[in-house]
Amino acid sequence: MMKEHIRSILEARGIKRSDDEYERLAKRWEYALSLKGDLNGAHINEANIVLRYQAGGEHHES
Amino acid sequence: MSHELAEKSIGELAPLLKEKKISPVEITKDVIANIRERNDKINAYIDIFENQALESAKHMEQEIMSGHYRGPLHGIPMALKDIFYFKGQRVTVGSKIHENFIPDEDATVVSKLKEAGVIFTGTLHLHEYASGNTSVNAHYGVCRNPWDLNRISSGSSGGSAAAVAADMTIASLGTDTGGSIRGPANVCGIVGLKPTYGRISKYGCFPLAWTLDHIGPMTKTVYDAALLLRELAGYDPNDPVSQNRPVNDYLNDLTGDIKGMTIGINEDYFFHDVDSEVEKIVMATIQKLEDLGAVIKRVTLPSLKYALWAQMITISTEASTIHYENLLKRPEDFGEDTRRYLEFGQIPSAVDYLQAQQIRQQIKDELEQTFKDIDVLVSPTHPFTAALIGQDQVMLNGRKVAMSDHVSKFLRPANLAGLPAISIPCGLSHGLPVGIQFMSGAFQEQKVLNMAKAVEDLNLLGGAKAKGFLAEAQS
Repeated sequence: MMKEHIRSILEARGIKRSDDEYERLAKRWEYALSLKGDLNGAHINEANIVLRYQAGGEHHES
Repeated sequence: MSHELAEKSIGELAPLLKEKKISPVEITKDVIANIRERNDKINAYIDIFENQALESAKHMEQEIMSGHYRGPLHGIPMALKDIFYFKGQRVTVGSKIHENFIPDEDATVVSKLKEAGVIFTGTLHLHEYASGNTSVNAHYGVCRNPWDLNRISSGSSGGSAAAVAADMTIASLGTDTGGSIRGPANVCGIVGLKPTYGRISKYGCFPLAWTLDHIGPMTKTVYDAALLLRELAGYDPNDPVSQNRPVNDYLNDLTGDIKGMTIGINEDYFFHDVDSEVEKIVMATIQKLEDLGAVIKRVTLPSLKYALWAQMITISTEASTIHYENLLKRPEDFGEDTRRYLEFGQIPSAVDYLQAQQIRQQIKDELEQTFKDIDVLVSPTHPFTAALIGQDQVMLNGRKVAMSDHVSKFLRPANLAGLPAISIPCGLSHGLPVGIQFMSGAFQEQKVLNMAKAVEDLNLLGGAKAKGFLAEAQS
């Protein structure tokens, strides 16, 4: 059950909340998963594990 | 009462100051008069520096009168979002936890504005820790929309947008992690520019999500946005993601001539689920741009299907990491919405975060490829006009949708890819501003500015201004 899953994650990180709060977070997480889907068609480059955020190139210092 | 100088833009005031036809003291007095009259209703300011601003104005006046004119920001009163560090002055970040936080140095943008001769009139309201898009703040109240006090000014830079729209500052700066400059600019009927990631230093700006945060101008005109960008852009060794590239003179390129420029339209993502009236206004604007000589081209961007997920995971996990210690030690000191938002950020796994980054890269690659064929990508800024305060759901063409999840949908790809994007008003729907967004390739700010200038020159609002603060709020 998603609520219990969320409870176990948060409690392991020291965050204890009410049942209602876990329920609310579970619904939110289910919504996030619905946005993700199965990533079919995402064409993720599996070789690309480099975190790059620089639009238009890499960081240069001079 | 009319305080005419406060209604003017930097572009209008700067030549008058330079020629000594007006004084910084006169402008500052007009701005402060508007703050006094309007802030109780709008709640755009957190702190007001009335005496300090007047003292500073007198000093700037003396400098200008004695022939030491520093440049176009000299003697201009401004207030900034309460997220930028001011040495020796409290910066709340819209929170209880930081309510007494006093930085020991200035943010780079603050330091640049001080050197340029700006007069600071106060600090502006924001959604707590910039973590939401309503500017309904558990600690500092609601920042109301100057067009209609019953509606939100959006967020998180709601105070900046509302203050500019209500002439309570001449211009402002905001931060944009998922649309927090462009969204508030949209609902308050002003110009909001998010530059390329790394273009303006973020040093001394309290972070929401490191890899998505941007700083940018929020102004009355496109000229002012270009001017502030020119003054603030540039390499800063204190900011590890600042990029060392030449800064254009964005004002020289600001002609409004868009003949031959190619406007890309992606209907699958950027025109999906849009209020029919908003869509009509935006499409009519695009038609006018085509009449001016722009070329319209349809484009496909399949990876955007995952943009909302990638944004949601990235922003929440990074924000939750920043606030983790306080989430454990003093959760009751966060507003309920902020606490829940940060708790949510503890849920995704490392795999989720890294997959989100892979999707980001995919989106960035796809957009960069697309910008080889087009100059700008167009969309409505928001899919609907400003929501009512407390309104969780909005009717979108007969269907109920969650306001917060839908409202920033068109803004997020520019954060994920770090690309420049601007929002400019292009019409009114039932008396509320509707904005159009232009995005472009990395460091192509001049393209979005020029396209926005073309829209501005069309005068699609016919001079209409926010006057909602003349009435009383009903809620």
